[in-house]
Amino acid sequence: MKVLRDKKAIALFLSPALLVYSVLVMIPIALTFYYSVLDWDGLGEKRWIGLGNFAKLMRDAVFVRALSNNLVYILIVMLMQLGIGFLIALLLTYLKKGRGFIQTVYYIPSVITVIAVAQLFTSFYSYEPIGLFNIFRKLFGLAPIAFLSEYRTVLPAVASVEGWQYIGIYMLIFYSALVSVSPDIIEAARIDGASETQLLFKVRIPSITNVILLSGILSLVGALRGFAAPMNMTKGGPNHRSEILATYMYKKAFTSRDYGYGSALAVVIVILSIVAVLLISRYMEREEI
Amino acid sequence: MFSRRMRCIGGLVLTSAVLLTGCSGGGKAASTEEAGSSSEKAEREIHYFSSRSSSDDTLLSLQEVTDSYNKEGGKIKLIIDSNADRSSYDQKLRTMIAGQQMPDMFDLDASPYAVELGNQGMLTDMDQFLDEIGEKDSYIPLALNYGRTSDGKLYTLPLEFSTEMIWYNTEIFSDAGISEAPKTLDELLADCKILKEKGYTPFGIGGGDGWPLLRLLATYPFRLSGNDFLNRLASGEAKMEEEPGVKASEFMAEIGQYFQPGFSTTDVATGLNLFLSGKVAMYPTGTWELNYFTDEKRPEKLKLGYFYMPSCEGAVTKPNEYWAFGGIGLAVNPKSFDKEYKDYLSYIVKNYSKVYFSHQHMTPQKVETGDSSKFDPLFVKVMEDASKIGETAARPWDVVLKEDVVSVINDNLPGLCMGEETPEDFRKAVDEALENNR
Amino acid sequence: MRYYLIKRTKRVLYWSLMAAFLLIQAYPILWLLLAAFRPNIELLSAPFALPRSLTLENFVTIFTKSHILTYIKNSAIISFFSLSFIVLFSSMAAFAIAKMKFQGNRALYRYFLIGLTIPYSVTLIPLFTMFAKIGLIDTRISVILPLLAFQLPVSIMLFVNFYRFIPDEIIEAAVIDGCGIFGIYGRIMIPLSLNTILTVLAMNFITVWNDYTFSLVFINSAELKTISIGLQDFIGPRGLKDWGATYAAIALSILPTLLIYFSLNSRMTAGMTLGAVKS
Repeated sequence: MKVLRDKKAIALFLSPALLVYSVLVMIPIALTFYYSVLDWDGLGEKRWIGLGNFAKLMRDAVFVRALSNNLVYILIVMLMQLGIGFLIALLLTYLKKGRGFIQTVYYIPSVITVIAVAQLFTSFYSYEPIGLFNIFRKLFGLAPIAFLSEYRTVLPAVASVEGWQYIGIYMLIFYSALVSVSPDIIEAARIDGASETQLLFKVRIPSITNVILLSGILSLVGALRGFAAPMNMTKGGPNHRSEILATYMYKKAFTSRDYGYGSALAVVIVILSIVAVLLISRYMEREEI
Repeated sequence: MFSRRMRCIGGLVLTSAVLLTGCSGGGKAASTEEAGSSSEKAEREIHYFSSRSSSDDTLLSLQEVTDSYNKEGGKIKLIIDSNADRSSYDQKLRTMIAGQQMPDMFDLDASPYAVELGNQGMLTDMDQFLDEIGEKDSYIPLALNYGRTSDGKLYTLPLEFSTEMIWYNTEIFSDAGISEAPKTLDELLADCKILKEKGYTPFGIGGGDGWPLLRLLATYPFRLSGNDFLNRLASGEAKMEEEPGVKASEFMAEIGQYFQPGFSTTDVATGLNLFLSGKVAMYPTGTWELNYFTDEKRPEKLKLGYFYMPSCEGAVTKPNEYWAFGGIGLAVNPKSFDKEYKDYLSYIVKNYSKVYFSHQHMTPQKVETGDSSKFDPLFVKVMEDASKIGETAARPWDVVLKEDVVSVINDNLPGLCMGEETPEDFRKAVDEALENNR
Repeated sequence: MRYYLIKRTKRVLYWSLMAAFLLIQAYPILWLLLAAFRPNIELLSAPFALPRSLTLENFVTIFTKSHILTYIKNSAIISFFSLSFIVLFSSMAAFAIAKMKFQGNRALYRYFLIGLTIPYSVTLIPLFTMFAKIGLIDTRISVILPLLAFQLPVSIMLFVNFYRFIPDEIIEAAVIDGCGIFGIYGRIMIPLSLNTILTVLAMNFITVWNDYTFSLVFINSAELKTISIGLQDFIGPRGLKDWGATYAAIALSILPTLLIYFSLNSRMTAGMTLGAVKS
């Protein structure tokens, strides 16, 4: 159709978003690439050191730890958001009354500022004065744990906070998708004698695969951007046991004032992000057909 | 038909753009009325970016002094923006300065960052300024010199004067059969051991905020070498592997077992409360928390005492030399430091401490104490101690060492205290950081 | 009989699961709301014991020591403008990408998607330098612009995803009726995508309302601070924090969002399918 090829219209529709996005996201990213080959403390001379920052990165044990922590972090966040979110959504579909109320209760955490949630959970995890989790441990006869200080508990503890906070959104998404599956199909399957489990795996889940994948992307994006919870609860500690790339980058750039090195870390994050996006867009293109 | 709608949308964009700029402008105008004096004359705005909370007595005092300056004919509007979260403050200040937006007035430690700023001519020399107005002698030397950078320059004016001590619960101590406060670090450890055997948590600490742990780490080095070891660390001449560093790391590994579990994320408010509610036997803090320990404020049943930094064998610093400092100081942007600003700042120097003292705080300048009966006895006692303080005061590591080194220490210290990391590994990590930050 | 037993066990299981999840999600919030009314000292010594006394002291503190209402107002203004522009710009761009025919269509979409996962902190220094040069520091625009820019990718993705489900026949029919390109966008696509718009609003509102990074770096004046930054008003010297006041401020700050949520609840649920369910 000719209308859809109107160049002026295309330009008009695209330019506001393109302009804002290019100037405020892409140009700064390009500048970050530029800073990453510099030795610069944000004040003095900018000194060109080529790939020096990246060579340093390869030898940096903390970077490797942050990278592997980050993967664990993403995994935990996604598992909680998608797994629990789906389970609750599924349970909700069997509920006859009070759905609205329950949905709201689930949604509330996501509108609270992360800073607040981080503080909230710091007291929940606390050892002294005794926090909620340790009260439970005591009830079950277990010794209390200083969750945010122990090397082996700190990363899951911090990741669960971000996981927990946004469960509600995914629950809402899954629930909406599940109830919009055409009742006729379900009825038909029921008449054919399908059990509830079969119904779930053969009818309901297949008809919402799109939503599941898209939620997966959203959750991945959120987890990759994760920052505020670890930063506000543990600052990546103790001894980098809850360090993820974003916190490490932030600390290098702003606390240690090594903008060059911080930017090199940022470049790694950007490259990882682009890889993730390539995977995403491959999925999108498959969908188009 | 439709293009009209598009125009509408375009209009929305435009109007909101206007509205937004209008909004922010309006906001500022409003702030002007609030913060300044009531005079209609053109006022000089001075933007002060502060690391203290907006209800802090230092800021209230500054505002009071500004008001009286304006009453005497001055035309200064002091606009205070504050960010009390220290790491946010530091980040923000650095971003502002990197983006060439240095505030007219801001808080700054005598850190390596200050040295760099000073070398670039971006800070006002306060030695020169104080000599010029003849006010240098009004300051307590320890408070003023706290603001000296490693190269001996003075770029900041102190706004407070504080000392740090370790508070202890006398009832817990006597229950454990400890009759007096520890005088040496070995005694401190021995007391901790006894307390722990008695089932008490010997030491409460707000490790989540970083600095309390650093103070303990710095204790041995200060006792064994004054600030010499620290200064040599900063200049790259010394290593943690030397005696003071070895002692310091081993001390931390040992005392760490007496901290409350989970100390590495305990914030200072929680730490303080552990002590106030009698859950821990000792708690280190400074005079800025004095208000919580006074007769009037502390829980009635709590009996307490305090002691200053314990000493050790082979100490070169005297028992009356410990943590004492002027706090984060006031720095001035030389680009805006003209005659009018200078006049205002000298008025502050001449009047600030009087006002700050009336809020019951120790001051960086000598003040007439007058009738001390209106103050809390504890405050009077601490003030008396401070008047007998020695010549050297311990300098905090987080001010002297480069930020990157400090952050490596902060990252590794909790592990060392928990026994997850050996003193050797700790020293190695710090030495590596020192090497990287030459 | 046996069937009945199984059914009952199932029901018990169902309700206990439901209750457990509800507790996990609701308890922290209830605790938070209650904490706003508890004295600071109690929060520090026995935060999870049953409250011994309740007080309004925290609210007195937040109204006297900080400009909490101003912060909430600022967050609201920033959210309103960011969200309006996010919806407008992303639906326009998504319409062009999904429905219009031009070269480099796909590449452009990918270009937008790159921004999906970029962490904010990566761009802070360049943005600050940029804003400082054109004098945008310490204005609301300096927070709205980056929020808008960073939320465009996800919003465009959601819109594109939905628009692709709208059959081309509808557009063809409209063209035959004499509808221009703007008519197609404004009179067909927008009304059809109302639910998607709500979804985009709901998802972005969370990010925008809770923004910490940009407000922290670009806003200086107390008059322009947002709620996330305002919470720092209750930190005293050397990190000494007034927890009661902090919780009171948080409690107050979630009220407006709850109101909005309650009024939009049912419609939002309808839109949350991300436009991606084949029905």
